[in-house]
Amino acid sequence: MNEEKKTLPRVRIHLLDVVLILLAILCIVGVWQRSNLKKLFSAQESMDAYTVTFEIAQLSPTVVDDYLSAGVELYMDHDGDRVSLGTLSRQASTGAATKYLKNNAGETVSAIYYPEDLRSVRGVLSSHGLERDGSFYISGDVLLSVNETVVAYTEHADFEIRITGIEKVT
Amino acid sequence: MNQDRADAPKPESAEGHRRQSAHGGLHGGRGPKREHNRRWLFLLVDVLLLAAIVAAVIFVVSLLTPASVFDETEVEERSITYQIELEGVEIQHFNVQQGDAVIDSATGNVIGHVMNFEGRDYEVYTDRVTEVVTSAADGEKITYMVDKITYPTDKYKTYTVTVAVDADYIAGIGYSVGDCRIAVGRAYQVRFPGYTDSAVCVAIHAE
Repeated sequence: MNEEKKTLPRVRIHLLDVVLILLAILCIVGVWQRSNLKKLFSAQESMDAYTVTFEIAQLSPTVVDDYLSAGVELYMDHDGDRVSLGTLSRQASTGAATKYLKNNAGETVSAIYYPEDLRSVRGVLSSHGLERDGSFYISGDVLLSVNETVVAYTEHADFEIRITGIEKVT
Repeated sequence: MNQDRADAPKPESAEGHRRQSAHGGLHGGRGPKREHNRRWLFLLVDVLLLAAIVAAVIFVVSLLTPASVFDETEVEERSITYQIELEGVEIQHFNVQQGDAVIDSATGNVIGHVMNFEGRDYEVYTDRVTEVVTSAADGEKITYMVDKITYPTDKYKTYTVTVAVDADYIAGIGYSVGDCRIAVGRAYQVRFPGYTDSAVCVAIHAE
């Protein structure tokens, strides 16, 4: 009986020690792996492949050639974090940049800017995201919709892009 | 760790138990080797608790600072030149010299020094159109071009200024000088010693 009384508190102490050691180890591992934990909690649902198309109303053709080639990744900032918008699946294509104006007869016509100055740009991004309640979340985090204008950037250039399409890759 | 404490320990704490053990108070009659082992166990608990506290502090600090201590991003310094374009500059006020420091007004950083600059006509698009008629096999085709006007060349120019700087480079993120990102398409309010204006970066070249 006496022996039992003596050993009981010791068992409790050991359990407490073990719990404290485990908590401390968990705490350290948690800090070490915090970025993975963040991902685990922020994107519990698995992401799917999407195609996101965009356009830039007016851009210098040299900028398109130099900075919007296939394989370039576009990012955006969201709450201080860098979010990937996807990778250009091919070189961005260009077309005439236009503006509606009146001609000499007073008719509304589509007029083009000098192509060596300004071109309109269309790009296709291979992206990842998920759909929640019918809305698309790029990279699982940021709500993105068609017609939304986003300040996107690559390693060397910033652009204002307008989202023109979001399609799930089947 | 705390072996020299003389005051009475709290019985629930690891330290308390250690002290009590050391004096043989609670579990009296244990051998010195067992006491030694227990002391090491408590020391381990103390060290782990301290490590956990330090880890928690680092975690909080890393949340509150933009650059994380765990970031493995490698920053390298690269010499670059970049071009900024200043549109519609009144020639009589333009006072920029080679070697002038270039300051970004938003951040206050010196973002390089002027290597050279050159001017060209200042042209702007208007709200008028020009009809361009071309002949084709199936008849004439009319293309409407947005008209451009050129400001008087003796009064206005668009200047392209080439700036040289040693910038920080992070792969995938790009170039920055201090807090100022250097990127094509980005607008800056730049200050030279004798002139200030808005400018847009139009090209970057790494040396």
